[in-house]
Amino acid sequence: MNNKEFINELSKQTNQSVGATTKLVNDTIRILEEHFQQNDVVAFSGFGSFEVKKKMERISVNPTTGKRYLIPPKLALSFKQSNVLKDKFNAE
Amino acid sequence: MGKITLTTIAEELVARNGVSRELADNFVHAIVETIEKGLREDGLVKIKGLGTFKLMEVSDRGSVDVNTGERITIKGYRKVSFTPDSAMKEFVNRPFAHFEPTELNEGYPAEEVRLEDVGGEDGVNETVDVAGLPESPVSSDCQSDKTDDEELKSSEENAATIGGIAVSEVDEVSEVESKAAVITGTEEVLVPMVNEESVEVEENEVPVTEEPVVTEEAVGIIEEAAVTEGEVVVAEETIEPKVSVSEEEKPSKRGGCGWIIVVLLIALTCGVYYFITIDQDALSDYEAKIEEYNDMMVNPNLEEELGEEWDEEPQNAPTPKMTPGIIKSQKQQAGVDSSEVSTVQSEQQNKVMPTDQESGSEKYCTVKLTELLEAKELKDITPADTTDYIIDGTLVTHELKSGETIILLARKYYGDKRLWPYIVKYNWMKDYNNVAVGQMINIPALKDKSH
Repeated sequence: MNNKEFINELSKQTNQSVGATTKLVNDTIRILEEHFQQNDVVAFSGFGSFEVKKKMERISVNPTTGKRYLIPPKLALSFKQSNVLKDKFNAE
Repeated sequence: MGKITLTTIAEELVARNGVSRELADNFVHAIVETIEKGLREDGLVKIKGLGTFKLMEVSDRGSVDVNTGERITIKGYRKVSFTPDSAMKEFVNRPFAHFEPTELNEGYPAEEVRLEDVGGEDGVNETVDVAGLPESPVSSDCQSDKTDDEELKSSEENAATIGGIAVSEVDEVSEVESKAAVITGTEEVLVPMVNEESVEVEENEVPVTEEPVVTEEAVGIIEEAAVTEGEVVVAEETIEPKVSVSEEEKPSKRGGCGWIIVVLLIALTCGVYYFITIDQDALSDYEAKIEEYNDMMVNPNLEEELGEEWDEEPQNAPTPKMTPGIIKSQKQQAGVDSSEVSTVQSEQQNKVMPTDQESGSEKYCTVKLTELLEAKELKDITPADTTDYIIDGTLVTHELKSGETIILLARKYYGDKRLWPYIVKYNWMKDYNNVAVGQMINIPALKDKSH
């Protein structure tokens, strides 16, 4: 399911026009971004939770040249599925 | 840092988009349901600006029961994985976006690299920079600082009352003093002298002024720019306390390993000081002297003199020899402030003494550091003038293994690590710090010149 199919499906469920749905989805993503910026944990009950985690810097080796690089620390968005969701997909 | 739920998101959606509360609630729940539906149908949902949800199979894996110690199998399951798309990734990582991967210096085993990082970070690297290229990026930084000052000056009204150049000089001097304050960490004396704009300057300066050497570069520029004698005197006066500060502070921080760095730093600060105070013409003269001291360092006579010490502590011998060498050459050249030099020299001797009395582990530490220092110091010397041997064909061809360095090879085949330049010369190596595992290295057979 790509972005277009996702929007279409969503507009069908909420009885909104495709344009209005697109705007709502974008606004939701902006809201999520604001929370990620503040280091919040965003939990969708029954689905999973999003969290920004800090990855420490590390040394990695390029296997072909053998050169060693210091990879800087970074912030990465991580997702953890909830147990409810896990059970839904593993019921059968 | 709080936990945000779907309800909160719905509330914010109402505030932002102006939709009804009911619709917003339905909408956020519909998003979750649609994602679930898409996963069930395709196993994949792509949302632009957010990322991709994907259904992944996790296969069975074996494990051990923590309580009973029995082997158990954890059954495989399906897992929803999420990959943020590039826009979201960049947005989240924005606070750290300025970092970039850097290549690490190769050629040292991990242990030595770690030592270099700890001990040599500000000592060794700065040493090389200042000795090798006096007009390094550091000085260009200082020049840009100066232009900043001039901008500040032009924006200030009261500058006109005192007179253009004099004000800029005063600014720069106070800037130097503020740098000194950063180094010592005691600002109380200087605070009254620093007016508003130099406080700003200080804030700008903080990342640059980590090193006494750096500030001295700045002083050098000020001195060159200075026209009248009196201003030079002011600048010179600012140097003296700083040197003493660096002498007092560093040893307490680093302990045993720091001594050698401190000794080298003192020698260098002296060198930079004389390089500044003496005419530019003296530069070439000075370089000649440096080469002389290098020759002196590798002079076999000196080695014979210190022969016994070599046997006992071959690692400590090079450093005590090197530092008097620098001082001597500077003494000959300067001839003016010999009293100062002698005081510094006596201080250095005081500092070299404890090195000889250190315990075994600290000695080991010094070996590593001196090796590193030697490797850096010797960079400009043509290889193979260490001792008097001539190359006589190939002894053996060695395939480099992991963890081996040229110095280790010299120790292995000649029993003396100081003979590594012959290997470098014989193999036409451009960068002997950069050797690869598996590289074939011809070990030359050496014949004593006197025979």
